[in-house]
Amino acid sequence: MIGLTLRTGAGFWNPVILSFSLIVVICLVYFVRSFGEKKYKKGTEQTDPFFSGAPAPQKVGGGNIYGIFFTYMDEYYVLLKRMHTGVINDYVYWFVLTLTIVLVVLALGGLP
Amino acid sequence: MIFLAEHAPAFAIAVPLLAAFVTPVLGRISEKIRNIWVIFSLLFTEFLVFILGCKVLDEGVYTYALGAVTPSLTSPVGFPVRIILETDAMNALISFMVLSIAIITVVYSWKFIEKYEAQDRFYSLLLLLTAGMMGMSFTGDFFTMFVFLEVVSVSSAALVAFFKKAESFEAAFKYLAISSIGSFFMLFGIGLLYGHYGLLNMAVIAKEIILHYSFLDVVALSLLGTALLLKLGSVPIHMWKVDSLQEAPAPVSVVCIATSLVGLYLLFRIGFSVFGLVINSILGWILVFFGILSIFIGVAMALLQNNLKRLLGYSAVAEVGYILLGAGVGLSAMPEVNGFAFEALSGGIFHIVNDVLDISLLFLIAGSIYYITKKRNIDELGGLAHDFPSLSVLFIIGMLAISGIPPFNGFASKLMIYESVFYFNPLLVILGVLGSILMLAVFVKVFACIFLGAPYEGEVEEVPGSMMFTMWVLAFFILFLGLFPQVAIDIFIAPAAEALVHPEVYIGGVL
Repeated sequence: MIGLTLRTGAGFWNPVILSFSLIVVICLVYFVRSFGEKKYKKGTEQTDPFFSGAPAPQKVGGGNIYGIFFTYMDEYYVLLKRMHTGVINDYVYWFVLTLTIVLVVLALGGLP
Repeated sequence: MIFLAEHAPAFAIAVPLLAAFVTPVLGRISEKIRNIWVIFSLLFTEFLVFILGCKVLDEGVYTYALGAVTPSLTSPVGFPVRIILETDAMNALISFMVLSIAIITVVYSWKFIEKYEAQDRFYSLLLLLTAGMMGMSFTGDFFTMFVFLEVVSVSSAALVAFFKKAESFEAAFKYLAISSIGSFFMLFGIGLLYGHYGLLNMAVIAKEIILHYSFLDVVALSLLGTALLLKLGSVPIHMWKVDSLQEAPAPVSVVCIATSLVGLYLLFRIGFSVFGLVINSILGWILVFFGILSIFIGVAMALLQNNLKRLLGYSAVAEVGYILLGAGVGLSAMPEVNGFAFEALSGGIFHIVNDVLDISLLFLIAGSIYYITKKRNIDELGGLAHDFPSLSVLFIIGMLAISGIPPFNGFASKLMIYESVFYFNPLLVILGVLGSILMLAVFVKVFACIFLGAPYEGEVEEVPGSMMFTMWVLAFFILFLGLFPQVAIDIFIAPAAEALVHPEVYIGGVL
């Protein structure tokens, strides 16, 4: 399949074959699904999400998703929030700091 | 046709520039005529860039001297004295992408800004911004680059303030102030080069720099490089960009992404074509460092956001990181010798194209969500998939593409970057893949909050057909580039990478 295979230098990747395989797998899954239980009744409690016996929340806020991740990464996020003040003076400070880093690194490693 | 092809670089700047000034006049006559005029101007410019691109792919670098008896008369007295526009496969690709995004933006804006005042000014500024980006892309000298950069900054800032809210004005002020500071340092760098070499032409300076490389050049490169990192919104100088992307109307955010694309091009042009023959390894590592920083801080901040457009702004910052990573490895590992470095650079360039398509689609979806619900906070939304299945399908396409999931375009370019960067330093690949996983986590959260759950109970409007059309066009190209990436690599990515890794060809175009 000349022109359809991406050559990455180290290997190759053919998305057309993957997509075709994916379609075949989806068809197979649909076929297997057709053997499933047919007593499904739309709009009854059969379709309600199970939430350990309690009524399931209708909406989970964005802030509640990945809560554990944020708890464990708290120190990192405190640092990031301190960096993002929204104050324009701080933006200029970061610019000057970046310029200094680039200049020092280039001066140390980029001179003939 | 030959006349058009010969003068295409000049026309590509002049047409949108003149159209920008005519647009308000036509707007007084009829909105319909104005809209046709704007889209026709951009389509004609894209046609010019297309024939110029074909010419460059066939014949190599094309140099155009403004005001010369013949366009090829670049150095009548032994060195270039005029404004010289130099086109190769790299800037032809960038210009074509910029114009495509401008056209998509205009079609989307027909309905999106229909209810707002100052539409004439909106289209006029959009054309001015496009002319500025064309100028930045085609110019072969530093001072013209600076002038067009200012055109881009001023028109972008004015567009960011389009909604005329306090937050919009604040974001526009930040944009203008930080851009001005960046431009000031850039001008200082250009002044140093001019003082050292007495010339401003990039190709001539690239030639002279081999013989007279000194600390002054290092200072100039630092100033130019940092100013461009600021313009494209690399961490840690990205905050102003996120602020402006958040407050600008969605189509303006898309054009602001295109300005970052041009900023990246200029960074590559200066890094590879001007300084590439004297300094490469350390500059490449600097780009890799800022690339990794952008990926991690960008994606971590995106994960924290609940404002959809701010979240997308941080995602855009992270995506710039992947491009810097690929290009940095390309610059550092001598792509003219090492095949993997060339692949890394090609992956970086391919990711520019993919990133613009993916993030533009997501911004336009965010604009559509704002259009139908008047809300931006993802906590206030939910269940939109019930009423807007097409929008949710488009979002899934954009989400999977930007997260680098096969078979979408983001995967193809990220795979090229990962596999080639692995030869350079495997640790960088691990960091890049981690960034991709976090990116997927960001968009899974967004999708769950906006589209899933009980049906949305607030008042909603329909998404107009023209807006849906532009998003489907972007989705089509995302799918096409995902399914047939090698076609894109063969036709325009590899020639663009070749143009960067052979600075002697760029220099030879003028001298």
